[in-house]
Amino acid sequence: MTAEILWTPSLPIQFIAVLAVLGLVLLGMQLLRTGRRGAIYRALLLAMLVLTLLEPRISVEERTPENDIAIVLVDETSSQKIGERKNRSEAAAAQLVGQISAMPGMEVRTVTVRDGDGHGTKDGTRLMGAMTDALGDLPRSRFAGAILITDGQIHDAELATNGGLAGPLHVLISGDKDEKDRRLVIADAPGYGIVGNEVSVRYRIEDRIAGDGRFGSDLVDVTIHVDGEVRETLKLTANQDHEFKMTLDHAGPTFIELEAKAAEGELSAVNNRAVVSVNGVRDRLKVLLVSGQPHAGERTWRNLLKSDPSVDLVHFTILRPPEKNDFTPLNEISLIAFPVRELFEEKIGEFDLIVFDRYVVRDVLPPIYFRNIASYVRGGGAVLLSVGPEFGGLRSLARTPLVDILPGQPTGQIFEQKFKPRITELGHRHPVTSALPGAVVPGRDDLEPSWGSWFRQIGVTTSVAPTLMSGVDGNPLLMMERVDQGRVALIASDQLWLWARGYENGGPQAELMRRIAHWLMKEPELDEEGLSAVVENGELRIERRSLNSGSEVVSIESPSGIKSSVTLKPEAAGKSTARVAVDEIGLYRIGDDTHIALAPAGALNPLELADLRSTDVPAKKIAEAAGGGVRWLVDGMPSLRGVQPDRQTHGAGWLGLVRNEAFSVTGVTNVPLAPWWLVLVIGLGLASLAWWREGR
Amino acid sequence: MTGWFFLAVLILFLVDMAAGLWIRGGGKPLRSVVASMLLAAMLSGGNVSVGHAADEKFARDSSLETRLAYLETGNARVDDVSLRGLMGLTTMLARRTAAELGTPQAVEPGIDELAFFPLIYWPVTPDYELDDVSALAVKEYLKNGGTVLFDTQDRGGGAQATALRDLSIRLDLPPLVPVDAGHVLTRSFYLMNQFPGRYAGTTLWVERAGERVNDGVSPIIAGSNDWASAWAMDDAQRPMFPVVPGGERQREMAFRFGINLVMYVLTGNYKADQVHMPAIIKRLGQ
Repeated sequence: MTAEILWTPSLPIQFIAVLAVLGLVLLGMQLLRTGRRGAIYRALLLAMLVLTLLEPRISVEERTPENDIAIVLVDETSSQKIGERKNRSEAAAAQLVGQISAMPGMEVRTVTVRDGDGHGTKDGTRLMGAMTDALGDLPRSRFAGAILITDGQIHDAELATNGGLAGPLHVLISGDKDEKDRRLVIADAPGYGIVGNEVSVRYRIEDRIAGDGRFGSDLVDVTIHVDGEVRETLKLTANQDHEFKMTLDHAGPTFIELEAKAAEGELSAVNNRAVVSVNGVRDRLKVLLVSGQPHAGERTWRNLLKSDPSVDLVHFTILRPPEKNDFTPLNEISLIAFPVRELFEEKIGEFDLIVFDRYVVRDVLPPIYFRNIASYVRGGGAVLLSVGPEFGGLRSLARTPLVDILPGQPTGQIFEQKFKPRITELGHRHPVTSALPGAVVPGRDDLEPSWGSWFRQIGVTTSVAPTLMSGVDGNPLLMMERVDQGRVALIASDQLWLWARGYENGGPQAELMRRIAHWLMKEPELDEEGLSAVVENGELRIERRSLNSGSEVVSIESPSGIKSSVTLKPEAAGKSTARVAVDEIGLYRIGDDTHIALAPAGALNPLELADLRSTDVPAKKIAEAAGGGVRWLVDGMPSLRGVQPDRQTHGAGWLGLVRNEAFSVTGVTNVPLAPWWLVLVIGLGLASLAWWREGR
Repeated sequence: MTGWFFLAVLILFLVDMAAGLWIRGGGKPLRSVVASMLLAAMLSGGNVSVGHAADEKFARDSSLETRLAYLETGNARVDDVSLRGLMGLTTMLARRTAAELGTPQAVEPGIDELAFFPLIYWPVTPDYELDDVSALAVKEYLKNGGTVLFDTQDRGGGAQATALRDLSIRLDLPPLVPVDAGHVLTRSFYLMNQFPGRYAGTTLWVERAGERVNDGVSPIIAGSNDWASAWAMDDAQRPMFPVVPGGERQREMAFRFGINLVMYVLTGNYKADQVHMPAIIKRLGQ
């Protein structure tokens, strides 16, 4: 409790002063004239009246002392889980909390910082951001200081050095001095590349010890995985740039993982691994369309292919067969020297897709060209055939060397009757034909698909190739097959064009063609057997597509190598899925017996793991800016002291916490010192005494 | 309030002192004392299906074979010339090209399904009436990749020309432009820059089309050269009508135009592609 006298004159102070001076003058004159007689009483009366006019009050505050608050901020990011750091940090935190709570008038708050906390990029250890948050609701006048327990890799130290953080901030470093660590660093990697072109990744194995020091190692074993499969194993020198080159073979992300074997005595192997995701972008698609006799459906192919600006279409057809020669002079005929040999022999392998539309075998393309096409497919090419009546005849593609790669052989039958193409049971599970607009729902084959009818189907032997669509009497209509590295699709009808032309309101011709073409060109999202996974909002979503039903168990390996498994729940269209909550950053690998899916969570090469060695460099900057000390826990636990504000905050073996002696005012009482009645009584008394003395 | 009161007291006190001094030695002191702080609506459109009369046999015959079609005007003479003209053209196509087509087919828009036909030959006659259902069927046909050759058969400027103008309004046809020297019709099979029929020397009109849409093929081709008459042959395969101004060359050119036209509707801009071939082949080499 403190009391204080307040002067609260209601009259102008100058006025009172003038009157007081006047009174003193008169008093002086009285002393001179009449001597001391009665003057003492007049002097007292004057003084009392002047004081009364100044209206003195006594103000009494009722105060409650408040505890000072100290913050213990514990770094629990990934790098703090290495070695003894975690134990040391926990022990130190417990000890600090105990000691601070035991200090009279001191409270303690504990704040833990995990991966992704703080502000900004959410990458790395963001202690200062977390510190700012912790100070947010804490009154400055009660802040006694903070003690940070960390490995010293603080990635937002500049927040403290920019000023604005209250101190003192002390840092206790949990790791060992002179730690050594090997890491794999990506020096340069492309974000995307063109499918079929080479990309190169430059990387370096760094063997480092304390600061910029290096420790010598022999050749380091490096393993390179591409999309989860081992591509190369190498022995490389450390602390030197190396280059890995590969050709992108599919669109979408390709994950290249580089991993160096752990060095002896190094901190952790987690950063011996780096991942590069290169997004494969298709160059212009090069499509070769080989048409037979001109017919109404031919332009449907052209319309479709030409409407896509990213397609380079090479169309080969024969408008005038050699046997049909009129006698028109050559200069009146639009003749084109079609580079047949160049296209079918030299550059056949450059095409992304070859489409045969009702092709009738003529002498123009000799058998050797078909052999080229067959080997193009085996080597990874894509061929789509739409066949008409010619397929069952003498001039059929099935009588060329192409026969080896065909998903079906002609039976010689030709069905010419109205029918609606249907999706087979298998087709409902296949990404190419599942949920095709207009199809009936799986299992309801009593319903009619809403697309238009066709009128011709070519009889094809049912082979091992999966049949996705069927036609007349369940005969196979769309078959798709993998042949060695390549893929072939066969449509056993030449009437897909009826869908494009809107007969009976048409059908999903463009969509079906797009999906078939993309499946042929190996877009992963259309693969019938596939496993994919993504991490979104802290959740790992796994999707398995399969032509076979049944529940399946997949294994999950977290970035730090923790293995678990999950059973997928079957869903429609051949999919089964699972969702798993995840909290690590890095690359998750999901696998079953045959497939591997990789799902990046957060940054692929997190800053948090870039340098794992303990350091006091950022800590010193922070301590200097916010008036605190830096100590290594390995040197022993410093003691704590309460210090007065503006005093030294740390010294040999001790760290200080500020005693602010803050209080809160719970009430104020104002009492007038000179109540009017008292003044009146004393005044009258003094006046009477004065007059009595003077009157004598 | 009390402040003023005590002020008064102080002043009186001072006055008293002054007075006391003033009258010191006999004066009586004065004796007196006194007191102070949304939504949206959806529309759904239904597709109007027109081909109600699509008899299955008609559909099968017309889709299994590629056939040319002509508009049945109701005028027996005109319809007969159209049929014979297209038969003549079909014969010449089979003789000279790989396009071996079926028998030409008469169609009535709104009654017959048009989707099967790559080309409809449309003789424009003043007395032909196109009702709403038929107009809609033609518009659908054109939208889905069909092509119509309007032939006023009058060398231009007659009553048929007026009828064509009315038709183009009924069918919402876009403005047409004359075929220029670079158009694919000038080189889709034969090289030619005039397109004579029974008559010669008039302009052939097409839609200005982009390369990406419909493979750049104009859904509308319009002229007045009476091509059906030039192509028409009797049962002995002899021409039925003389050509004007005349000569076998003109008839030959009329057939060449017919062949170019059919190649154009069947293979689109195939010939125009060849312009891009060297560039594509170069890219293939990379």
